[in-house]
Amino acid sequence: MTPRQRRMIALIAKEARQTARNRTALGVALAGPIVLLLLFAYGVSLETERVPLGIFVEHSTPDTRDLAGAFYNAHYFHAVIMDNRRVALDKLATGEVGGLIVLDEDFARAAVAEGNAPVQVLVDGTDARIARQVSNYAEGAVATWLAQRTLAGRIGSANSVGSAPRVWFNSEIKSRYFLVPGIIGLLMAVIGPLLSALMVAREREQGTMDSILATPASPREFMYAKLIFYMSLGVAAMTLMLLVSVYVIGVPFRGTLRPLVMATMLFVACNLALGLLISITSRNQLAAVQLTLTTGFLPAYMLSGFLFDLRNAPAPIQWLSLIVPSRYVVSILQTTLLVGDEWRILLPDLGGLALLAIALVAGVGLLLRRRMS
Amino acid sequence: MVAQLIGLILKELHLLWSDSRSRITLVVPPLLQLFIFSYAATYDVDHVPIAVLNEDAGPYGRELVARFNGSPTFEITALPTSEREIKPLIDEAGVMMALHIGPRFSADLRGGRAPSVQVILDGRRLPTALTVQSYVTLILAGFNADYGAANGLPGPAASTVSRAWFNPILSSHWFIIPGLIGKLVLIITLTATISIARERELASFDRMFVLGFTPLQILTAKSVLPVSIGFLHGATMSLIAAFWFGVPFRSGLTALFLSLLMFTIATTGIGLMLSCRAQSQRQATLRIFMFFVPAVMLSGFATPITAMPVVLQFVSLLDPLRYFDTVIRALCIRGAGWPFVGTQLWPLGVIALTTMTAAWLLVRTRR
Repeated sequence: MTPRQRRMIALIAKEARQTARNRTALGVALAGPIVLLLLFAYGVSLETERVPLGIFVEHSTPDTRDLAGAFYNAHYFHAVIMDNRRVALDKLATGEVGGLIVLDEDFARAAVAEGNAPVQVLVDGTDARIARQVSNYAEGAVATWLAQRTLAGRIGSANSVGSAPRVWFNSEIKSRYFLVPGIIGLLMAVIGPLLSALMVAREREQGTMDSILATPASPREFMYAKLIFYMSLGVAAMTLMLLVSVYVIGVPFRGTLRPLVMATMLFVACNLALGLLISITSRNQLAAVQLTLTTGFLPAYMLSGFLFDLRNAPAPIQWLSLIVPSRYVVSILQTTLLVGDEWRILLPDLGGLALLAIALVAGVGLLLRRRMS
Repeated sequence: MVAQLIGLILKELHLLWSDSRSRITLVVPPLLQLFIFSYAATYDVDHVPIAVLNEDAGPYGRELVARFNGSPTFEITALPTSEREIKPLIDEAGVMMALHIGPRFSADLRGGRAPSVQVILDGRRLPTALTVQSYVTLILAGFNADYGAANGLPGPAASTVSRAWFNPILSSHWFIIPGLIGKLVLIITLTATISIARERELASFDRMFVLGFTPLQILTAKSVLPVSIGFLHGATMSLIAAFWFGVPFRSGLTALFLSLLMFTIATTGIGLMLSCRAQSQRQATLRIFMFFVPAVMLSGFATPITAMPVVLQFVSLLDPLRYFDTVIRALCIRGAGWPFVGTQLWPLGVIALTTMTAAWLLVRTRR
C-alpha cells in the first residue's frame, strides 16, 4: 500500500468517525429518508377513497333504496343519504361532499314504468382529477347496479359492449407502486445537496482546516476523501430506501441489480455535484437554501414525471425536464421495479443521467480550479 | 421604542437588499418557477398513443376503431397484427394503451351476447392509465347508446347524467396553479426566517440584548421581512394566475389577500420557532427541510387528504399549507364566502399564535 493510499484511507476513516460522532449527517442520510419514505408510501395515495358522497332521495321507493345501497357498498365512497334538496346542494357547494347523486321524483316514477330513469351525478369540480374519478366511479356503480338487476331478470336485457381493462405492471392498481420511485427520486434530490452542504461546512465551522493543511495530505486528497465518503453515504441512503421499498413496502422488483446500481451511482453523483455547485456559488446561506429547494426539491417534485406525466406537457417543458436528474431516475426505477430490464428504455435514461453527471462534476471541477487560482 | 424597532427592521432589509445577487435569487426563481411548473403540471391527456388490434371482420369493430381514431384523446400509432406484438409495444412504453377487439365482436353484438373488448394499460404511469381508462368507458358508452338507438333497442332502465360544478370543463390548471402558489410562498417565507439563526451563529443575539432590544422587538423585526416577502410574492403570483393563466378568482381579492397574510404569518412563526434555537444556519436549514417535505406531501395538493390514514389526517391538521390550499382553491374556483374563509383562517391564527409564542419563549430563555 502506498503512503498515498494509506493517507486516503485515514482521511476517509476520519470523516466516518466525525460523522458517527456528530450524527447530523447520519440523520440526514439514513434516518430521515426512511421515515419519510414509509410515511409517504403508506400515507399518501392517488386513489380517491372514502370520498364523502351525498345521495339526495326525493321520494324513497324500493328502487331508490336499492340503488343507494349500491353506493353504500362501494369502498371509494362514504355515502350519506339526504332528503332535503337545499341542504344537499349546500353541502356540495361548501365542499363538504365531493359529489352528489340526485334521485328525484323523475327517477322514482320512471325507473319502474318506462325505463331511462335519470340519475344525476353532480361532482365538485374543484380538483379536476378527483372530480373525474368520482363521476367515473359513480357511473360505474350505476352500471354495475343495472347489470345485477338485468341478471336478476328484473329489467330487460342490456345488449351492450363492455370492456375488460387490464393494467399491466400494476394489476392491483396500487398507487404505492407508482409513487415509491418518485418519492425516492424526490428524497434523494433533497438529501444530496444537504449532504454536500455538510461536506463543505464542517471544516469551515470547526476551524480544523488549518490542522488538516498541516498534515502531509494535499488539499486535493482531502477533497477526494470527502467525496468518496459522502458519495458512499448517498449510495447507502438510496440502497436503504430501495431495500425498504422492496422488502418492507412490498414494491415488486422485476429487473436486475445492474441498471439499478448504475443509476444509483450516477444519481448520487449528480445530486452531490449540484449541492457542491450551490455551496460554492452562493454567497450566503439564504441563497443556498433557496437554490437547493428551487433546483433540487421543486424540479424533482414537478418535472420528474412523479406526479405529472411529462408527455402531456408542452414541448419546451419536456426539453427543460431533460436537465432534471430525477426525471431519468424515476423512469429507471419505474421500469426496473415494475417492468424488468427493458434496455430500450433504460439505455437512453442511463445515458442522459451519465451526461448530466459528467456535466455537473466538470462544472464543480472548473469552479474549484478558478477559486483556487 | 418604535424608532428602535424600525431601525432593526431597516437593518434586516439592508442586509438582504444590499447584495444584488441575493436580490435576484429572492425575486426571480419563484416567479420563473410559477410559469414553468404551471405549464408542466397538468392531468389532462390528449393524443395518447395507442395500439389497436382489430380481429373483427364485421362492421362494428371498424366503427369502434373509428370512434377511437376520431377522439382527440387518442392517437392510433401502432396496428399490431397479433396479440404477441402488443407486449413489446407496452413494455417499451411505445403506446400507453392497447385495444384488442376479438374476432367474434360483431357477431356477438348482433346475437345479443354483450361482447367485451380487451383494454391493456401501461400501469407504470398509473394516473395517466386511470384517466385513459375513463375515456375508454366514455367512448364505449357513446357506442352503446348509438347502437341501441339505431337498432331500436329499449334504453337502459337508468341513465346517468354527470355534471361538474364550478369547473365544467374540468381544467386541472384551476386546481394546480393555486396549489403551486401555496408551495412557493411556503418556501420563500420559511427560507427567509433562517436569518434568525445567523444571529446565533455570529453571537449577535447577545449584542442586541446588550443594546437594549427586547426578545419581542427582535422577533417582530425578524418576522416583518419573511411575512412581507411571502405576501408580496403570493400576491404577485395570484395576479399572474388570474390574468395570465385565467384562474377565475371568483371571491375577489380581499379574502385572498387576508388568507395569504395569515398563511405567511403562521409559516413565519413555524420558521422562527424552528430556527431561533438552531446552533447554525445549517442546522436551521435541516430542521426546515424536515418540516417542509411532509408539509408539502400532506397538504392534499397531490394526493387527497380523505385518502390518507386517519392518523395522518390528524397530523395534516397541523400543516398550515393544508388550510391555505383549501382556502385559496375555495376562493378561486368555488367562490366561497366569508363564513368558509373563517373556518380555514382560525386554525392558521392558532398556529401563528402558538408558534410565535414558542419562538418568543425560546429567544427569551436564551437570554
